[in-house]
Amino acid sequence: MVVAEPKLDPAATRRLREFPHETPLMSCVVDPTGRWCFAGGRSRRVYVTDLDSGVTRSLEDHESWVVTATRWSSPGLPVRSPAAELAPPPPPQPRDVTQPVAGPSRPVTGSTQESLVITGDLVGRLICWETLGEWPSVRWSIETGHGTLRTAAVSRDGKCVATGGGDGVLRLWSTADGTAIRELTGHTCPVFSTAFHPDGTHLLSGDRGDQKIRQWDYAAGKSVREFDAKDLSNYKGGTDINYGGVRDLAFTPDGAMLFCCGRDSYARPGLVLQFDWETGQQVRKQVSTFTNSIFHHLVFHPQGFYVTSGVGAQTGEIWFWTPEKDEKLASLKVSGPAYGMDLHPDGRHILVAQMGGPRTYGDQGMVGLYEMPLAK
Amino acid sequence: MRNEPAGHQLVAPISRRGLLRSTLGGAVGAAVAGRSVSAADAVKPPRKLLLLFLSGGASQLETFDPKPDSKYGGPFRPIATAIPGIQVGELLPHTARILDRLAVIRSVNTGETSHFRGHYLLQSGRKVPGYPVLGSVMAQLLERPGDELPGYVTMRRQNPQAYTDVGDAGFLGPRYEGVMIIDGKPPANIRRPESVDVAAVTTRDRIRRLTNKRFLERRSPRSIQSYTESYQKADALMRRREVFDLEQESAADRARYGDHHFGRNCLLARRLLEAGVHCVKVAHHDWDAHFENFHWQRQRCLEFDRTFVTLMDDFRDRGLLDETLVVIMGEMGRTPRINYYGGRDHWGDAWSMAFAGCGIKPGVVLGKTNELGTEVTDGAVDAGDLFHTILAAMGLDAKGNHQVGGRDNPIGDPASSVIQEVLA
Repeated sequence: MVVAEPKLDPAATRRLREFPHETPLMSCVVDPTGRWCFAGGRSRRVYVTDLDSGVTRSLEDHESWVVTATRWSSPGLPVRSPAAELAPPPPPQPRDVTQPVAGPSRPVTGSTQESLVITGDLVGRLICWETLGEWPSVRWSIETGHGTLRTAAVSRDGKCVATGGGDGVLRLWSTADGTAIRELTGHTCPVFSTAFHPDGTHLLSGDRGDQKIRQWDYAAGKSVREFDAKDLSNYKGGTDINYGGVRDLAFTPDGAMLFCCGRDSYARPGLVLQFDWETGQQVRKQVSTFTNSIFHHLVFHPQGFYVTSGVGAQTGEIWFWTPEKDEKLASLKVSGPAYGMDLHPDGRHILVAQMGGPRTYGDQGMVGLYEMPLAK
Repeated sequence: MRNEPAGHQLVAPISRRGLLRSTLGGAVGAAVAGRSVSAADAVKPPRKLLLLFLSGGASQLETFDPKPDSKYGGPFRPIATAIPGIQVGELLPHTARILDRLAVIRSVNTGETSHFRGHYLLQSGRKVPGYPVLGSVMAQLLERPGDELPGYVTMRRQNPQAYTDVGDAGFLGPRYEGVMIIDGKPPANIRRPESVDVAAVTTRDRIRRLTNKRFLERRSPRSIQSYTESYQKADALMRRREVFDLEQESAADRARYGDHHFGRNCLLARRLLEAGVHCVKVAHHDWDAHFENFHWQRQRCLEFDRTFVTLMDDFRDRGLLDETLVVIMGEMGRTPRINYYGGRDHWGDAWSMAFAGCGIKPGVVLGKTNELGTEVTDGAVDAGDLFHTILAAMGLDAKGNHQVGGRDNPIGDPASSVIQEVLA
């Protein structure tokens, strides 16, 4: 549950701090309690950072690059915001120490609350983490067995997680134990994005190749309709590769509008498409001026604006938009190419997974913590 | 996985008239240049060469030289192969199963990072321009009296074309240029137009032969012979146009080779080699993954892996592999370091190739690279060595000479030598 009151001023967003890591980062998510940031990238490690203390543990439960991360919690879970200043560090321990995780942590005795983070990697390992314990721990870890995972999203009721990847098949897994529920077939290209509609009935998936967004009645296992996001296509016949693709999907809180992002051409700026949920028609195309870029992530804020993160020519930026205008609300240059991004559950902070290092070839990473101040 | 764009334009690049013109010019050119290696010197075993050219530069780390524990190793895992202790990238599961039928070189160091120069260097074994590429060399050295079909056929997609077409025959002249098949289309105008009457064609041909005969009685025969030869080749190409027609292959074969450019071209390569073409090059586009290399290499490997193993099994079952050398090559490898876009860039210092078929010792893995994959640490070979080795596997001697304008010109770079370790 993202909370954000009173009114924020996204145009005045500023960086609070950065958490450096030795791996170029591609994904990040804040756990539902707001305490733990999970980040992954070009290694088998998941970096779990305590946002209160800044202490990070790197966990080697994955088998490949961790490129997707998502979260879910039961309703009413208390959320904590990152402190303005880091708390005094706990007893010294080296940063990025690889430590095996102890057995599953459990919520407070008698509580039925759940707080989950799910991470996926490029060889198909999917891990469900519980985050209510002293440190996050693995609830289950499965080999999905069908090659690369590119995207994961948890259903509104928290009962299943949908994954998509290289083989173009959507798969649903039980969040309770990781067992397979069903497959949804129809995409003819790799699936790069997924999102559950607020109505609790429908799952959306976007591919890279045809630029189709498919709407599924996931409980019934049926394809319902398609949205044509051809403006996110950039097929090059010579290379036989589509540089575009539906990179991320998001809804307005009431589900009336669907947003997707990516880019429409090599060496062109990133962009966002808006679709009317009822009619299925594209109603707006918002093109950035972020040159040579691609928007990889998009989150909608309850206060009516949305945020995209992108990668340009060795640079990264986050952009703030309102659905009603073609022009941006604001944009902010971040420290490096911004592949991953998440809105903190408190609604006031944004975390950005970035790459850093020498020119052209990134060999480091950092999570940037950004704060949107209150409107004056 | 679908890889074919809808509505892709098919363009035929060469016409029968163009072929006639090129072979006629080539015949004259060859006469001027001399016929290179004399018939007595040239060994002409009934061997064939199939070049599977991974154009753009495949990543050695995702294929034949995985570095799973390196920070540059990429996201994919290594898998075991049919050679104990040897692993390849998991994107090549089918190739892994038959790796004991291949010879792999992991220590190619050409130092070349230009597509254009790399294409030429890897096919000619030279940096100096003007030398013939492998296909043209084969077309000449393996040429036999009565050959009807072109000695060298090269196949590619419509785009990109710039760096794949690298001059081919060089000083051997257009006679040995590759006949180009683009997007699987046969040479244009290879079929007699409906409006042209067969009887009229026959009459015209009879008159042409009679005229030639009378003309020859009082003149030097060379130019007429060249013309006649070229005409016969074009005529043979028309009569044998069915060799370009994949529809004549079974639906089962077309399905197992794969419904994509590379699959169709490999099946066409089989038809052409069986029909008597000496060398076929199939360019597999495009491996030049500066952007999101791991998505890209996966797409290419999906096409390559299954089709290649299908071809290997098929060639073995048909007995073709006993007389055909199959070479998996490209113009370069890719950087171990990964750029901000998730791409790997051009790299010529340490990369991989593979061979199979006639003249090759199977199950050999030659050479090593360092932990990061940035340098060759053992068994370095260059493009000249590879050129000599390919000729040696074909039963030909690259130490021999072309005769150009009455002068000897070494077929292979004299400073290079055969890589004995991979030869049977």
